[in-house]
Amino acid sequence: MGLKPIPAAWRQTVCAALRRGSNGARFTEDGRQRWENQFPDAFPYEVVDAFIRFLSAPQALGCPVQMDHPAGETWEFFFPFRDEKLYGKLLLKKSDGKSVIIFSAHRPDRPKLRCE
Amino acid sequence: MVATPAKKGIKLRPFEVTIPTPDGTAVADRIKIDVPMEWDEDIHEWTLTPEAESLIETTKARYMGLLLPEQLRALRERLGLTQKAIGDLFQIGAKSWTRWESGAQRPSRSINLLLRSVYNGWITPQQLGLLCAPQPDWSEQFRRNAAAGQAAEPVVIDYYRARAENAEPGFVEPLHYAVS
Repeated sequence: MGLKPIPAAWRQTVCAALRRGSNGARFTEDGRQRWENQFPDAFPYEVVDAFIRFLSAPQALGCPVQMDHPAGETWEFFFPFRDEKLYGKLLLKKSDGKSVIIFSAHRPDRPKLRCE
Repeated sequence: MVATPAKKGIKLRPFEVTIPTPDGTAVADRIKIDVPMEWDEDIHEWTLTPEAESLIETTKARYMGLLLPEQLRALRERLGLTQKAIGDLFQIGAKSWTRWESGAQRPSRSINLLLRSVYNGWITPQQLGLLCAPQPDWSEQFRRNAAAGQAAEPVVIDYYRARAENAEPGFVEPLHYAVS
């Protein structure tokens, strides 16, 4: 096991979706409320920018995630936000191949990712 | 698992908008609003629509006293400025101003105080322009006043008051002077 390089094609498509704002990448209800609770003074574009910065780096590492409803390709990773390490989990949907679901953007519950 | 018909489509669902304390580190208040969420068949979860995000952001901005994008545009139009000119006035550049006006980004809370002051008419663009201009060297004046046992601040205040009162109508000239 161990952290894996997040595939370039996935990163590029996800970043393109994130740049389209909430038309391209949507939070789940739980994910959005958790983000809201942990960062009351932040706006979502800030975490989206942080996702884009992290995923634009070729050396971005993470773990592939098997979901209960495998509707595409999901990766989890740690990424920097305001001098903190946050946990992120994003799905690139298979149904259209270009839209993203933001499941998580919050302080880590565990010190390690699943594949570490 | 198949979603029940009641879950399909778009539905108003409750969301708690958190309002930060002034230092931004904690939650000062929670505002409950209903926002449109869409049931996603692929993941079997509710997702936030763009309209939901807009409602949440507008609520948060309003409770935080942040100027909304349309208020920023109204301010610029009231002053008769281009995005570049107003970006120069607030020393943040046209790009940032454009992002604020489109709602793509928000001004910081501290710059928002300045924006609100101008929006409310408490600070005029002329006064702002004067503050951007090269400032006099007050050290000799301060020394002289100190030697005479007088405070220097009234001199400074009188200076700016006089300049603001004598400024040309409109702010373009002082602003141009300030940023040239």
